[in-house]
Amino acid sequence: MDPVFAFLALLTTAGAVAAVSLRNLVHCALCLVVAFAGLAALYLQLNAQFIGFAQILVYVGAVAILIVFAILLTRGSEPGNQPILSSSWQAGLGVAVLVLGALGVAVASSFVRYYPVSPAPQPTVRELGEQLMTNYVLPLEVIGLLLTAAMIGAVIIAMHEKQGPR
Amino acid sequence: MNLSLSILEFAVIGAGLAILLADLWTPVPQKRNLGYAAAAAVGLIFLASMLMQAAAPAYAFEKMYVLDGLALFFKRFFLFAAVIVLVMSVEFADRIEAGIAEYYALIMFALAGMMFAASANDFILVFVSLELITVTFYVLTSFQRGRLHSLEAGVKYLILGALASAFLVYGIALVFGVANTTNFGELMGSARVASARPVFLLGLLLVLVGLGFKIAAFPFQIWAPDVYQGSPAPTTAFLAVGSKAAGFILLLRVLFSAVPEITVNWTKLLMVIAGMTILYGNLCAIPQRNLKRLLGYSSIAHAGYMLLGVAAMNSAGSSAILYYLGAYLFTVLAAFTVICVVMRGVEGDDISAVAGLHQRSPLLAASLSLAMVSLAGIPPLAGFFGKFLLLKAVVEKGATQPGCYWLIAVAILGVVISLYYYLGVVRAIYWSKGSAELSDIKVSWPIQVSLYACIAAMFYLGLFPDRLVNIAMEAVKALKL
Amino acid sequence: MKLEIIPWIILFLPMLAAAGITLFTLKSRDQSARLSIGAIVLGFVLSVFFIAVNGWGPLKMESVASWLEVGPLQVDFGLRLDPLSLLMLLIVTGVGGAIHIYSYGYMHDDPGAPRYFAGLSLFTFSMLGIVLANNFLQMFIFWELVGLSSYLLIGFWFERPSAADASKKAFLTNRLGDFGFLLGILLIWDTFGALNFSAIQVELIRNPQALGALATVVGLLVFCGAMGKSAQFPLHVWLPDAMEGPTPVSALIHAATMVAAGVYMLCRVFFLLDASGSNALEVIAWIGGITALLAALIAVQQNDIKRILAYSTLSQLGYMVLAVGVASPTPAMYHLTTHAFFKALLFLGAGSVIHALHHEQDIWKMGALKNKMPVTFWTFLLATLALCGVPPLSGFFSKDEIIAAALNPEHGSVWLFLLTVGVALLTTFYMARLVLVAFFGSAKSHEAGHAHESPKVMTVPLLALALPSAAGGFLGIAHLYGKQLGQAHADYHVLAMAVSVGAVIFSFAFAWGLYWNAERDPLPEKIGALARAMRDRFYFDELYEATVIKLQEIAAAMADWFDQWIIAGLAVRGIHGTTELFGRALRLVQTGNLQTYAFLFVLSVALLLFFVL
Repeated sequence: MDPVFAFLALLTTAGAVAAVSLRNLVHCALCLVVAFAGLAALYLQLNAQFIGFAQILVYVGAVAILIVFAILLTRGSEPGNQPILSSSWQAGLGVAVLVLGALGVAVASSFVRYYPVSPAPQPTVRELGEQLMTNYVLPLEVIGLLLTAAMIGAVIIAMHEKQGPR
Repeated sequence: MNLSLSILEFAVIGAGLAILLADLWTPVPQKRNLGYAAAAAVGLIFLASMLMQAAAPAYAFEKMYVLDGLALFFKRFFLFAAVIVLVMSVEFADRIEAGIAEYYALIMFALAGMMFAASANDFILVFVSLELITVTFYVLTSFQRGRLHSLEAGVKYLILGALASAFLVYGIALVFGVANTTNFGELMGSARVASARPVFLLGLLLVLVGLGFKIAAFPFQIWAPDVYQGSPAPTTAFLAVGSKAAGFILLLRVLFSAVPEITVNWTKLLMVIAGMTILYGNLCAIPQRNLKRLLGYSSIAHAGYMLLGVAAMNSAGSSAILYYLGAYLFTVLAAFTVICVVMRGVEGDDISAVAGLHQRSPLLAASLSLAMVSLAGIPPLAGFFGKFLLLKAVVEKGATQPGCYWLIAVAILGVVISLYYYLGVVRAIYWSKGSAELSDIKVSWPIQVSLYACIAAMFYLGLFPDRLVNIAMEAVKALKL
Repeated sequence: MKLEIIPWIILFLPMLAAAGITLFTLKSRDQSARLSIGAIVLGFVLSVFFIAVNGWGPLKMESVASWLEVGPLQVDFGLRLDPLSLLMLLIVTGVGGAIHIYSYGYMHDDPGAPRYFAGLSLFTFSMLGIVLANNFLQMFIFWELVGLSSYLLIGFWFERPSAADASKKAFLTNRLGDFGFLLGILLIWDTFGALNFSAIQVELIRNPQALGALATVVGLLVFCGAMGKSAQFPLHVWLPDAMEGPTPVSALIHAATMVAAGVYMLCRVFFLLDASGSNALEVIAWIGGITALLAALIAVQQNDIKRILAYSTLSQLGYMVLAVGVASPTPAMYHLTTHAFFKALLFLGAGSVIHALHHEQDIWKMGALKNKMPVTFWTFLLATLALCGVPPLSGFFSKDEIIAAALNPEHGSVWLFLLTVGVALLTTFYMARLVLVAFFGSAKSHEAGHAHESPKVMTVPLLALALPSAAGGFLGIAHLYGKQLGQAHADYHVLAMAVSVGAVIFSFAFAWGLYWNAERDPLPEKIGALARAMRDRFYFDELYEATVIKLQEIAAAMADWFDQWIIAGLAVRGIHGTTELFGRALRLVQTGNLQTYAFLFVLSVALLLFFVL
């Protein structure tokens, strides 16, 4: 196994685990940034440049900052007094292992025999843009509408915070 | 590329944006009446859809979008449902603190999503249209900000919906990874080859999980009662009718248009799911006292009945689903319209709120009772014939699959159980005493019109089902059955 | 105007009346009654007119309007006019009309009278629909409507919990049978591709093996429907409870029409039951016989006047079903017709007594009514004699034909014959007990001492029904049915007559000895446990309570538990560990709830994957 991959995989997983297990929410958010960055590095290592940079720009840059802001604005940074793990965490772990097992078995039995897959395309940003504006213009437009709806919803629900119930 | 095919969707989106704009210049007391404008606009688009023809399937956007009889059937279905829901929303307007125009607009955006879903011929479009519906509903469910129940419903729907979407998109990715295409037409060719790889089946199953969540099929039904109970009544109505039907059209398309060769191996799975859904919905509905929660469980049961048609895997079954949805549309909308009017200022939506309704408003009482009787599947109302057709489709299937007779037994057991709680509602309306509130209820004329329309349709579909059945039979010719 | 339109008018008149009452005259008792009575009386007059002009019609006359075309299936909305349906038309409008008029007096003081008349008209409409239907689907739809309207009528006094429970029981039991019926119809559709009675009959004559191995199953499924409506064992439990409804309803629904629908349907589709390779008839005969015997035994120890009549009805229905089972539909229909007359008369007479005694129904609190209520007494006595089968009253002839049919060598057997004789003995016994205790002897309560004859509007229908009850044997009814369903066997009539007259005399003497001037029932002391079992209806209700209803309760409890486990259970286990009330208010914060949902969701996904892969 490639040592770089191993390092990145460990970093990403450790960041993700820390993000859900730390008590201080700000620390959680920062760990999430680590996980996002690790993922981006993995993409770059796989030669998927566009998606790698998009990951950095969107997730590390925007989403993480948004989360930090949301934490700061809503409840401050005082740690809650609730236990991190819910009482039924063993069951949850069991189910997670089950799903992982099913996926793992299916993936393993599907690809071992077909290992040499065709070389992945290496789309440039330009090609991606062209595809989005021609073949995939309808989904793009629908996503635009989706974002509009989501924004309206966010405004409506957030407005409530300011005015309070009348 | 043929833009004119999706003219209906664009008209709906345009109308929705126009409502948002008009909101800026409308004085506050007039804002609620924008709903009538919205209903009128959607009504006009509905009438326009009647002029459209789809004899042969027509494609647009690189075959991502298809307009055939099936798509057109569902577009009309969604448009009609939206008209009634919008009228209902106007009635509901004073219970929403602010943003009523946005409420109307969001309903129309969700409608556009459903209409795109009806025409989806590609997993990408399936995903984005489904997300458009779901994200809009996250907002619509939590619209009554003052009520904890409403916010709770929104949060629950959001988190479980996100979970379901994650499975869906993961499934699509796996399917694409193996078959190298997301288009239904191309998938059909490669599905046989790809089905040798378990990961392809895995992907399809995860897609089914996502769709099963939308139609609230067992075992992905858990969210439905809580969300139905907590949401504003018009949202619940649209969720029960529109969102569920969108799930069904996508289910039909994926199973019988994209991968029919694989679907045939899943008869047993679908039969088990259908049977369990029927039993779960009906059994859990028995102890319910909350009317909306009761209808939530009942909607699970009805999803189960419609899954009978999927499990039957013949054109009789699929056309029966379409008929059933048509009957279900009018019945459920009538029920929710009444709930919306009656439950004004009543916290908890308890069944006792409709006690003595026949003295307060005979029209509301009759509408709700007829809706319950139709849901219970008693002739001559529409609900009966739907169940009749579905059972018949399963009986036909029984020749090759003896397990079908068990399924029929389960379905009939479910119907018998359901009588218990549906008649409980009817009994509360006519035969209960001790209701404190006995003042007359004023019913505005648009509500009256929509109620009369629903009642007339319930009777018409029950007495003269052949027209709709024949339309449905034509429509399902688009599927590979 | 074509003559054909008259049956359509007859059919839809009551529906118009029901709609008119619901929409316009709910406030006025008199107008509602007039509408309802007018519709059915006009229907009766038109029926008589139609038959007078048209005769009893060709054997198969259908008046159809195309109703639906679903794929290959065409269903017409049609009326079938043949002797069978025309006679039933007369019974429903005639007997029904008398009961409508009687109701006007009986329900005089009830504030809910308009609702009552609306229900009555709706019921009449549905019943006429069953009678005139020319295909299975149409019949089934009206079949369900009859169930629905009887639900409304039985539960008319909904403020009594017993009435509300009874109506629910009746409806659910009926639906249980109906689903068998529906399955039968689906199978028939699947086999023949048609639902029209005559089309199926033609097809069956052309190809007698059309049903193949399914013949018995189809026959029994169709019989399921009749079992529900005609209250045959083991679905008989609803009928006695249904006596909670107003007495005229009992007379209309539970004596003359609705319960007869099952038998009528069996005769209508007799060609299916009799199809080659079918053993359904044998089962039908025995179920009818068991019902007849069981119900007669129970009737012996009942004290409520209406319950005695209810069990007597059950027993007589068992007779008719038995007759169908021994391949003799003509005697079945004949007995149905005469029974409709005299049983309606008995119920109306009972209603008159109950009315006079201010809703006292216990026969041991009556007595000495003979002279105080002469019209009621004499008509009641006449009907009793007809029911027991005293010649030359109507019941004698029809019952005699059934007893004779039970002996016919092809389908009958000695055992069935002995069963019918036993039931005949019991019938005379319990009816004699009823009459002797209620009308003779001394007044056993204050009300009975001060009873008065009922008003004219109630006694006139009694007299009107007394006429056919007495003379029903001489109207050529059996001949008319015979034209269509085949004449009854001519053998064994003398034997049957001798046996049934002997049974009447013997039983009556026995009852006289026991009950003449009796102050209380001497029978329990003599036969002990058996009498208790009879009084308690052989514990069928308890048995069902313990099984069917318990099962439903268990299912509901399980569902409840499941719900509670998710909602309340987790609220308790949640962070704050508060009471449920507080927990409900804080459900939003208590994410345990939502976590469980997500947990179950993912668990389901995992199970699904393992199930398929």
